[in-house]
Amino acid sequence: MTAEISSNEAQDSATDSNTPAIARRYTIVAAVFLVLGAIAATFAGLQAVFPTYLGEIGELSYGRMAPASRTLLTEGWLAIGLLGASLYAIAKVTGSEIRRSLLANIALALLTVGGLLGAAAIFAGFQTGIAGFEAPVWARAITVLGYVLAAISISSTARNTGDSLGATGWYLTASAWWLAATSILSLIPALAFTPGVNLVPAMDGISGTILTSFAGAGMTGMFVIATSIGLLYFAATSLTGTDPSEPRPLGALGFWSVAIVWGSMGATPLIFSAAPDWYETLGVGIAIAAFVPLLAVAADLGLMFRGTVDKITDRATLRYASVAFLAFAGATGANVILTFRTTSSVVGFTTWQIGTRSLIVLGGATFAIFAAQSIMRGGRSSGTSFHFSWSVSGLIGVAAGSLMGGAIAGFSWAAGPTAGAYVNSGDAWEITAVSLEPFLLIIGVSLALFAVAQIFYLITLFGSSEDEDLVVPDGSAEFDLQFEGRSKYPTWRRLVWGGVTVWVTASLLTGFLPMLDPGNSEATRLGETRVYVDGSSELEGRNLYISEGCVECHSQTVRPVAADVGLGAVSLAGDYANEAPVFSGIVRLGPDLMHYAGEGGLDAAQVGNHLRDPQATRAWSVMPSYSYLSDSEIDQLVSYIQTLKTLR
Amino acid sequence: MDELLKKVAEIRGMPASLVERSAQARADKTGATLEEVLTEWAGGEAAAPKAEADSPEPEPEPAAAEDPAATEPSVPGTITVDYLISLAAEAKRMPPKLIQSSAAARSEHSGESIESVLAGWAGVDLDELQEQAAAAPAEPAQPDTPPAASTPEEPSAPADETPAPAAVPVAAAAAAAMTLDQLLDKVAEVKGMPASLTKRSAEARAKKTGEPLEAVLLDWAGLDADTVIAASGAAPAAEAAAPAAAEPTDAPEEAAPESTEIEVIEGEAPEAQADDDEADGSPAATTSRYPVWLAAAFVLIPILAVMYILVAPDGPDCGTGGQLLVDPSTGNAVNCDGSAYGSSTVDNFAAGAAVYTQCVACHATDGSGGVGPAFTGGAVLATFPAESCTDHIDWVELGTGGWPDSTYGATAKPVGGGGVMPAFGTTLDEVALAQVVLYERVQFGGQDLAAAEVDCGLVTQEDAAAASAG
Repeated sequence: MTAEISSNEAQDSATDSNTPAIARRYTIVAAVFLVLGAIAATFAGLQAVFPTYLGEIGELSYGRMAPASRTLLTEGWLAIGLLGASLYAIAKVTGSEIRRSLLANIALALLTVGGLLGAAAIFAGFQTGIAGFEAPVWARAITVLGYVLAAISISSTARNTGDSLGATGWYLTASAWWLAATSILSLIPALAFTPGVNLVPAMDGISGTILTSFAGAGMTGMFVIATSIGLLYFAATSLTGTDPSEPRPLGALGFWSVAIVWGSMGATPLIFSAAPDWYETLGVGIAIAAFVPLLAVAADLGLMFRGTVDKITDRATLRYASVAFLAFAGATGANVILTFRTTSSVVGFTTWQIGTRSLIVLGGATFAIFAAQSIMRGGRSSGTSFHFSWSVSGLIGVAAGSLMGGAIAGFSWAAGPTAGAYVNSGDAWEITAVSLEPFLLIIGVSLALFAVAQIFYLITLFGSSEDEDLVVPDGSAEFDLQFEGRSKYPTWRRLVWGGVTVWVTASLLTGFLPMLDPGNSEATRLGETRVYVDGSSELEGRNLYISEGCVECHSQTVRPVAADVGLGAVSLAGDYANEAPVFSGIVRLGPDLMHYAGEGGLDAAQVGNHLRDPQATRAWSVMPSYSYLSDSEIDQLVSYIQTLKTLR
Repeated sequence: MDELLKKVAEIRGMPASLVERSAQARADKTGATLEEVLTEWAGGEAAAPKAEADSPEPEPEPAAAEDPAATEPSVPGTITVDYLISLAAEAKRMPPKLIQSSAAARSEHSGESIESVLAGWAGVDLDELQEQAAAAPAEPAQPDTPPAASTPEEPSAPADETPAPAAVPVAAAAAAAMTLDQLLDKVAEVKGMPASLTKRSAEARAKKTGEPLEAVLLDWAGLDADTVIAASGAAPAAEAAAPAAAEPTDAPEEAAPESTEIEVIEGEAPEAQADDDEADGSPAATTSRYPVWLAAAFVLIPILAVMYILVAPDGPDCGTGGQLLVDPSTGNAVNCDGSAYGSSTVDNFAAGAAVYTQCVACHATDGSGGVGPAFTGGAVLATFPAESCTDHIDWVELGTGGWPDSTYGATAKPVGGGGVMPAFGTTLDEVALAQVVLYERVQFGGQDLAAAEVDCGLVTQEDAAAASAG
């Protein structure tokens, strides 16, 4: 009876609180970003199949659209969606309202402005060339301030209930601060690489790449993945009626291992790169260890759902949460394959990278947000089945298309040099381009499916506001009751100190320590030739290489593996010592350019013609035309590309 | 004031500091002054226990309905967990039920006994308490009321509500046997609303939360689904949970650990009663029983990861993990023996010798011939001169049966003139055919090996040039 009374009180206070209003604001803004990002990604994806269909509009060229869509999806949709859901979930599990709601609202405004400005700047040709952080530093500074304010609001709400934070509270509170800290750190290379503002010369060469890689892993792992798992816990506790503050040993193990493993994942994209050897090996070990958090979270959530799945009426939330978990499991597996050296020598630099990333961004994180938003909307399943099925189809298409295309491209690369005479460059790239085409088509169409589903989702969000506001389900109010005075484990102190320790350790081990390797800064003979003086046309060309997003498709790394035989000298850290940022690249949708202008390559005039009309030079080319650039700009770009040659 | 304190402490057999704290809490709650409370305890104290002692079997209802003053804890003959819970609940101002579950969780986590956890929270010294208990055995044992009754959570709660929590263990046992209708009636009674309406709300709630209807009703009836499970699924535990209320003096010290075992039993309940709706979704049902192999995985996976890092901190050796050697002079990736990647590292001559064992029946091991023509003495290169290795391969592949012309070779030998040459294309692949032909030409014809490899297509012209240059 007393329980019922306080339950009513909790409900009343929840109705009066600011929580639904703030959560709704975040939801709508995030969904707008999702739609924009999904549409941009669709256009980018389709342009890889039909490179000529957007004509010669520079703003919509693949090299700008792809990073802009990533910015919209990660700094817009994921950041706002995850932070909004965190604010809501923390308020619900602590049975209070959102504290410092003013900061939460200002944070939303900053994130909106920063995200839109960042994407707009990339479209306008002001990107940084830093993998994962393409938005200009001034736009990202606005976003980062938003992260900090949101983190303050989240931790104030959580702190309010003292030591009784359960798994949900741990994940969501810590990850918000990891996001803030990591994104502040990520501004360092951006400052160093901004032309004319080279404040941090230590970021030159591979050192900047390593710090960027850590920051990228921090954003993905310590924020996106940790928050998503926190939201899965939130969904699980509210679906099963489990007390969210309950001490769960596996939950704690999962939490710390997620932070440690995924926070240090920065080493994994650099396997077979020019980074120090021990650092690459560390990346392999970390990728193996990623199965620990996966198993811990799987077991913990499994135990929560054991015996109750059949009785859960909120099927919509359950479906979203299940897909989110499966996507994370798939991403962990795909990542190990990408990282383990034997397989990495095959699938590295292929669209496999896109598959792994889309499983996290469009899969796990996106569906975790959908699950949390489904709870926010009172678990109403009306109208979501269309959204669910189309989103899942889109996700499967993107992931499967990328992974399969990557595997096929990788095996053909490795087979080529083994058979002799085949080089993954120039005319021989036709084999790769043609074999990838069907997969690029699958990815593009799947992205379109996904985008349509998100437009529908946004409409239903607006539609639901007319008759009823975002409803707090009765069920979630109930676990407030058991919260007060619950076990003192885990404690706030442990969370703070542990969270700081994990972050500092990960940043030192995978962000800063590898920078001290002397090989990173001692230029090789090749590195000595790649010095670009202010005002030179080579430097202007290099800046065009950045702003047009050439690095989206072209790598500048030769690995000591079969697939790269014939591309020239294997890349060493010193080859990049005088460059910032380094264009080592992620995916080869086009050939590697490390030594492209060397023997057997195209001469300056041919490169210029190829940039203006790629299909005229090579009919099978998937490269968009750059005829929107002026003749002098084309010349500058060509003069930069001409510096990329083998030094013998 | 101090005297008053001392007196009460003497009467109650507990430290003066504890008495003061309890009295202060009591005073805060009731609005009386500290002196008033102490006076009441000093004077009225003797009566209450006596009154209870007079009653041979105190019913739970009267015990709970009494003035809470009577239930203020005093040191009983033995220090039971329930007593400690009530102390801790008093000190922490929290419902005893929560204290109990928290303490159980904490003790499980920290390895401390539940008594010491509770004593720590209550701010008392466990040893001191036990000494006092031993020293004052004659003190009329205070009926150790069930935890829920000892702390009046809602001062304004009407009197008719207090029995419900107090009767939990009993009611729980009863509820286990209750039908849905009986449960409905009880809820309707508690809530003071018609049974039909109650049913409708409960169904709506159950649908919304995903909880079973029974769980909702039990919740509304003020019963705890877990307790019901404990009571119905594990009868001994139910007895352990409610021993003090019925027969305080008989509660042995051993009863204490037993009552803490409720959590454990709850964990097993869902399996014991797989069909029991109430069992599902209870938090306790999910906290226990992690698969054992998981623990092994959690240990083994990090060990594997660390081992990988330790075994090859500078990356894999050449030849493993797809790693190639980097030629220091050119910087190119090359085979581990330094030869150009893609150039032949296969010993084609040796491989051809192995295949030649299929030919010895007709051509003899030394190539001197037999059923088939001899290769030695320049014969093989006379028939298939340098640069015509592919013709030689075709001949071995097709044999006399498949050969399109009537003659073969540079000397225009008639097909079938020297017996039947079988078609080896059906049993050997292109590489093996080329290798065996290479062997015949080098071993018996004396052709240069490197030239023959290029001639027979086993090595490309470029690789051969690179190899000779290197």
